[in-house]
Amino acid sequence: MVKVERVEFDEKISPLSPLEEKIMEFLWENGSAHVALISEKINVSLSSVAATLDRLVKNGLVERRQEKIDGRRKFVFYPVLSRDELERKFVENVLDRLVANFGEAVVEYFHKKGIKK
Amino acid sequence: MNTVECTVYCIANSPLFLPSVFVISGFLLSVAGYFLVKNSIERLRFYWFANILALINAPILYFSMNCSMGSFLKIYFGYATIAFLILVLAPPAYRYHLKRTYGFQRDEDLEKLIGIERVYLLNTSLPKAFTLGRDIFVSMGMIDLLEEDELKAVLAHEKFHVMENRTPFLSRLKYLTFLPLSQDRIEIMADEYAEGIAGKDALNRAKRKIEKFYA
Repeated sequence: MVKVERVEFDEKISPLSPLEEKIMEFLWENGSAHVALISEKINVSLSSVAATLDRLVKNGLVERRQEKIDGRRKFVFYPVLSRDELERKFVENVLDRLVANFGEAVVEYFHKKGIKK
Repeated sequence: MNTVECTVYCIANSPLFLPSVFVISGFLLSVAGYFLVKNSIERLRFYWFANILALINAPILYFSMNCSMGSFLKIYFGYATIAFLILVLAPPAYRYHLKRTYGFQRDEDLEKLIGIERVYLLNTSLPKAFTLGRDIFVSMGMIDLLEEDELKAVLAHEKFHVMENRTPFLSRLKYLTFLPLSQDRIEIMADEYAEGIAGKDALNRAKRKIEKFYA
């Protein structure tokens, strides 16, 4: 079997999983936070938050910085992209892939749309 | 004659009889020492010593075997060769896996806290601490979760494993000699060592916090 990568077009198209969404939302609102605070505020277990943050760091959506708070080492998370930037990147990515695979159909569609407007 | 009788007969009539008696009595003394000593580091030393002597004894037994019954020793040597290869290759392979999945770098603060070199900070927010050969790995999540004395208890536990592993051949000998010292027993000894350095209270608090994190 050939593995086919699919974009799932259910009701909500999002580059983020529901838990990733919750965490990013919190970071966008508060600017930065550490694991324990995020876990407490969004009411999700520490281990789920930590594992999800690891993934977000790996994917370059979040940055982990080491800081000294009250003389103690803490690891604080900062969003790398704003919500707008993330959405724009996601749309670009989806469209790029559509163009790469179905170039003519995509161009035709936007041409039609353009004329209507 | 069954295998055991044959083995005894062969050894008794072999020119290697004396060295074999010498090594076996040394081995028995070490095992006795292991059970008599209370200090966990000294226990470990006796355990190592018993393992070395058991391994030295293996070729002595092998070469004193003239009977055809020696085949079980050949099987053992085959097993020993394969086990040895796996034990040598597994740690670097796992290190490579860690580098790819998390990434890590040496951390001076942690090294100072416990007074040992080669302590690495593992780039994950999940609390993890383990020893690979002579290297200690502690994750960012562990530093986030624990107070300094609790962190020191965790590091002391891992330091014990480094001391256990410091002579790489020896720590792996248990797979070749089958001398029983279970992993549980080693963990208890490592905890005793950590209690001595950071206090029982700090170690217990650290354990509770880690359990709660993964609950």
